[in-house]
Amino acid sequence: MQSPFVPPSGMSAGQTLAQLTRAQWVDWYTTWKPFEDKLIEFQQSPTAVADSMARASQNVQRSFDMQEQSTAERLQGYGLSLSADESAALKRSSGLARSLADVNAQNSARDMTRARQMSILGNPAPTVGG
Amino acid sequence: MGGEKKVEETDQQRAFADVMRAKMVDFNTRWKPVLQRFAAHAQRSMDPNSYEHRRAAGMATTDNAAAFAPAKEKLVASEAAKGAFGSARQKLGLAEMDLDQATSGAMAETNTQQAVDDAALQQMGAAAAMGRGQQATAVNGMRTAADISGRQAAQDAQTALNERIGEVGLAAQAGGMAVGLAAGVPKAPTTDQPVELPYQLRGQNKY
Repeated sequence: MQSPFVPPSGMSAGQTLAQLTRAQWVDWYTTWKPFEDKLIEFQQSPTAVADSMARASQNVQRSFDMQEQSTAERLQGYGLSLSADESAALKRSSGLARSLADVNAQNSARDMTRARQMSILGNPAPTVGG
Repeated sequence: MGGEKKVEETDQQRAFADVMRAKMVDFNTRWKPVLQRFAAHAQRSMDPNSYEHRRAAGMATTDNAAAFAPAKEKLVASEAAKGAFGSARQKLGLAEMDLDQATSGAMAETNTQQAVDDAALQQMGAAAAMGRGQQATAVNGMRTAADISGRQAAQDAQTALNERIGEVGLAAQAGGMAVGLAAGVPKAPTTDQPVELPYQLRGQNKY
């Protein structure tokens, strides 16, 4: 694809170089600057961290929902069923595990997203508290 | 007199401009489409619903299932080998192993999504850096153009200087002759002597 800004042959050297310089600038402005803008937009996005945490939370909820279904089917496959007490105990431990995983995943997603935002400036965010 | 004098470009300057033009055409036809595809891919993969994200999530789920399946089988086999199978401890043990798998799967999916985001951002950074390289080239181009115009200005100054020296030389020659005639001793004209340029111009022209 020929750029319309490439000077035609036959121009003087000075005109050619000046035109090439303009062409490069226009090309940077139209082709490459949008990528820089996208990076800057991500770096300054007030929702990037929240979006990332929400995605992490969705992952946890989906994963636990699937496993609960899978547990019921597997026990049924072995010819076993849970009593009311066992169901209650499992519900408690499942709730605890789900909450813990949710918090963990959201914290992890938040830290990594913040570090990524800062890495655009060439400096990763400092890790506080390991 | 010192009217407008156009300084002709040298063959080297024209050749340099031709080479730069050819490089630009080559870049536009061969490399620019490749770089644009790369950059567009990087931008697409930042989308949470991109193919890269979905594939990473799928791989994380599959790896997780593949890692936990043998462990679950081993647990069932070892409990069954003890004789009675179906106690509350055994049932809850199996169920809690599923919870471990759920935790592990969710964390793996989150981490792989983050890894894809990292990779996408690095690619975006690389795309922007390519652009910055081109921007730097453009700025260098300006410097080169400025250098050329600077050299042209120096040549113009040299031309003007030569003209002035010629005029002054002729005047001096005429003056010398007049003084010589007046003194009765003809003086040799001084314009045959090598002309010493002013110090600033010697430096500028690298003499």
